[in-house]
Formats: sequence, C-alpha cells, structure tokens
Amino acid sequence: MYIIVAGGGKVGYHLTKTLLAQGHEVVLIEMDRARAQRIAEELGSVVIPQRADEGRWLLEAGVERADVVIAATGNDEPNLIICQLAELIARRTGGRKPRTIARVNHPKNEGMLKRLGVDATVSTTSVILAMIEEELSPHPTVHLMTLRQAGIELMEFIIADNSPAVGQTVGGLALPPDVSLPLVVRGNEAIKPNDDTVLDAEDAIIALLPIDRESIVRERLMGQTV
Amino acid sequence: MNIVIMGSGRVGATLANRLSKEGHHVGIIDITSEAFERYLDPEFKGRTVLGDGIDEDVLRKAGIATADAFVAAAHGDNHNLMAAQIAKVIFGVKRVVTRCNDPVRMELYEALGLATISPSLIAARSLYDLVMDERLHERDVAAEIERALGSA
Repeated sequence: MYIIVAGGGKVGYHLTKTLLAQGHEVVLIEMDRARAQRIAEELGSVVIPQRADEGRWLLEAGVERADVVIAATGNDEPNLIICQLAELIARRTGGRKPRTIARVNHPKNEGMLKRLGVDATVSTTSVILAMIEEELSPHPTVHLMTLRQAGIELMEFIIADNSPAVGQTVGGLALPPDVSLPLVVRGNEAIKPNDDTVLDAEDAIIALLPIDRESIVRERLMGQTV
Repeated sequence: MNIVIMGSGRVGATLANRLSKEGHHVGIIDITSEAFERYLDPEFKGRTVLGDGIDEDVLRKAGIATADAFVAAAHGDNHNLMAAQIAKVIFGVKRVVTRCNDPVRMELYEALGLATISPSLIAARSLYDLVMDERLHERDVAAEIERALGSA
C-alpha cells in the first residue's frame, strides 16, 4: 500500500519505520527540519521536511494515489485538517479517496473528528486509560474490541473458582438474547459453545455484547457487578 | 442577533464590543481570562466563557445552540477551522465566518462552505493601496497605516 504519515514525532516515526519494514511504500511529512533530517538519515529519502497541513506538500507527496493518510501529530486540530485536505486534494486531482486515520490526543475529540469526516481515529489517551483500567480491575475481564458504530463490544471473561457460572450450562446462564458467546477457550482448546455446554473454572469466555449489557453479563459469569 | 465569537484578542474583542454596543447578544470564548480583561470594553454586556472553542460544552455555554452566527477569530488557523466546522456541522449555525491567516489554506475553508477573512491579505492590500497612492504626501500616512493594521 502507499501510505502518507503526517507528523514525525515518536508515534509518526515508529509508525513509518514499522510500515516500511512491512514492505509498504511510505512518505513521512515532518515540519521540523532537524528532526526530518535525522529520520531521513536513518530511514532513507522518505521524508518531506514541510508542514502537512499545507495542501501543496500533500500534493507533492502524491496524495492522489495514496491508499491511506495517517495524521499523527501531537495536536488534534491539525490532524483533522490534514485528513480533510488529503481527501479534498485527492478528489480535486481525480484520485481516489484515501482512507484517513487521525491520532486523537484529547479523548473528547475522538467522536468529533469522526463526525467531521475522518474515517478512523486512534486515541492514545483512551488506549492507555483502558489498559490501566484493566490492570487495576480486580475482575479478570478484558475489553478486546469496541465496535463503536454498532454499540457492540467484544470482551473476554475468565471464570473464577467461586463463580456461579462454574458447572452451569450456557443456556442456564439466561443471558439476554442480544448477548452471544461465540467462543470458550479451555486450556489450549477452543470450543464453540451451545446452550448445553457446561462451563468450568478457568474457562475464558469470549462474549459479543451491546455496551450497556456489560454489567449483567459480568454478574452472570463472574458473580459480581462493578 | 445571537452571535458567538471564539477568540478575545484584538480582532475578536473589537468585534464583540461593537456588536454588543449595537444591541446584539454576544457570547465570547477565550482560553485566558486575561484576554477578556485586556480587550473587552467595561460596558460589554455579553457573556464571557472561559475554555476551548473546539469543546462542545464550552460552545454550548457561550450560546451556540441558539446562535445566528459564529465567528472563529482565534490565532491558529487549524483551531479556527475546527471550531467553525463544529459550529456549522454539529450545531447547524447558519452564518459561520472564519479568520484565516494563511491564504493558501483558504481554499479548504471555502470548500467546506465557510466564509473566510484573511487579515494578512487585507492588511497587505491596504498597505499596497497606501504605498501606491499618488496623493500619498498629502495624507496622514501614519494614521492610515495605523488604521489598516488596527483592522487586521
């Protein structure tokens, strides 16, 4: 794929390096000349030492043939503008619309950037917060993935010895109909459960559930609410 | 009219003072309270809101939900453009005007349906007019330049 990365800070630099190592064609736009030069010395001539929020440099980077544009600067406003400019220029020059991804620093801006047309956002702060929350949580529960548009999340629950779910069948849990359990991992074995599957301690249960169902599923599987 | 202005620097506050004097309902936003003290008239009757103009809650406090117009008059172009889009797209404000220092970026603003004003272009044009004016020597140039810069 051809990928344009805007912003060569820690995130943008490591991203560029990783994408290049994976064999992608990458151009990095970094406005700090000294920084741009340092990166170019290491990674080769893949750096444009200019501002990515000025259209001509996106044009120079060949935005009209880019598959993905990733705005990874440390500020949310330029990240929005870079994504919008990329789309606008690609459209004006007859190219196809690149997929735009913005790094979001202020979690409050995450939804806003999407509503203003950015295809996907990655909030570093939210990711770190979620990880810290998992570490602090006394219940072995892991948020695997959130499908925000659908309001659904994928979670993993580890059944404790004292859980009421031990010895219980999946059907016997009487979970709400919009909650599904696609997989149970027992030791090295992956089981596709049905209503008659009996749960055991240490089972890892993968659940697909609407976000507002989390507490009821937690209660049935772990015996506790938050 | 109900008008929300983001940025209480010289440009934003001068506009706010004038609109307030004319009897309009003005809400003005800035990230520092010093900006209000420094540039707003003591008789300014509008609402001052401390906070970031790209924050929905801050915009709401300033009265964006019932605003007829929104003016993004802060310093950063990106910041102005994001706030202006929130006003237009999220809150559906009819008249949105954006200050844009970089003329190159004005095309994006226009493409997004936002009216733009470039103080640097206006000042340059005024200065050009003054410099090229044949009757230059007859006029009080210092005062004119002052006025031209003051409007920027």
